[in-house]
Amino acid sequence: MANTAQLATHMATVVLNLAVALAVGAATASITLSRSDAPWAARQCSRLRIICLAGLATAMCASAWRLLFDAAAMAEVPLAQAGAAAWLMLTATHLGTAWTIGIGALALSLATAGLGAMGSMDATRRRWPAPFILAGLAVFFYTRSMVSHAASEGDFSAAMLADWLHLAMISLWLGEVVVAGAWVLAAPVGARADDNNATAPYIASLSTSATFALAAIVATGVFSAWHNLGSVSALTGNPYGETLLIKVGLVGVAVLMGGYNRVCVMPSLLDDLRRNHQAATAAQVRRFTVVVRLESAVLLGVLILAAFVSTTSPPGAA
Amino acid sequence: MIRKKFAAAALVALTVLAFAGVTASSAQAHGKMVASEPKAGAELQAGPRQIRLRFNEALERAFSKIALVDASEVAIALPGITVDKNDPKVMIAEVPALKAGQYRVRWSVMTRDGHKTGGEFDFKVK
Repeated sequence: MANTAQLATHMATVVLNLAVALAVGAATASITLSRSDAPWAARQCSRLRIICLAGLATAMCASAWRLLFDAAAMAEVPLAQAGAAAWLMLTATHLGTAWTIGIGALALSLATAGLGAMGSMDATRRRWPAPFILAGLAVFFYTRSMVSHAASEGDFSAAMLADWLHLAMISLWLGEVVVAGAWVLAAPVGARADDNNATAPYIASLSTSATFALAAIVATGVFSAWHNLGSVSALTGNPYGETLLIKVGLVGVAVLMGGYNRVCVMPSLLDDLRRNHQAATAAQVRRFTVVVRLESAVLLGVLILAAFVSTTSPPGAA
Repeated sequence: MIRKKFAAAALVALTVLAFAGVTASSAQAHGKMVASEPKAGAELQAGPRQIRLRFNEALERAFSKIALVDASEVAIALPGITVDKNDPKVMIAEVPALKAGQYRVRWSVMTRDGHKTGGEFDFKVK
């Protein structure tokens, strides 16, 4: 029973992290694409808005699901009796405060994306307020850090800042590659030259922001590992350390894939796009997209392991 | 040129990782009991008036508890369990008069960072 509840909590965390990452990826991609007047970019912006809405709605459901399981686990009662415990948790604990702020930030982001969707489908269709949604998601990420291992020293500390940035950046990386591989680059680029002109900055922006996110992930990941583990020896002989090692290994694989795309595929792809070389462009986009999809699959593995790490005590806990 | 830059960046990242691993000096433990009164394994001349548990993190009273059982696993009611207002890392239980015998304290706490942990220890009243 305890194992089932733990599995359900892990599943809720995975769904929550993936849904939020999709919202981040969709909002970020739309910022670049909305600068273009190309029909292809306009179509992608409309799709991205729907992905963002779906991600935010799913995240709210997963967050509520996690609260119930957390309340049942903390009160040591069956899930059927978790209602009263959830209310007590909301009204009497720090976790409840963080959850309330977090769900409020998600709701505001959802409302912002929804209001944008109800605007004119012509002039403003590509100008939905992605930066405001990202600001709401940044608040949500902070509330996740408030109930993580990083919060043991209070809500405002270097550990909290590192955890918040780590979570936000891994969501950005994962969200961007999943959105690119599953939707944006899966949509055939049109025959018009301005479609290619929109695709080139999108791919360049995707690669640049993924590289920036990776640098932040490495820096904050090293800091958090040091904060939680304290020594290299603590990486072995306990579930927390060993899961962290596997997670780092998978991140390394994803880095190699992203590096291959950036170094070996992207220069000639961008060149073909800018020269509007249709036949070569289609082949290069396919090649780039295949690697992005493989990278997405590896990062989904990282996401699942991250959910396990977040609900596992580091060595030294009682 | 680009390959060289990529290799250099990878080398720097690995060096940072290795350096951080070697120089790490302290770890943050989570949800750990650091002291208790009575102490684990203590043999007391008279029953304690309080059980006082100190943790390394602030506690959430609503989801933290202490239970006391005798050698036959019969629960002894603890009339008042509180978290110290001046030190939220300390949980206190008032204890009724105890007969001579072996006792076990079972605790489970929710820490402020949202994690649950628990444990137990024994003491003896002569």
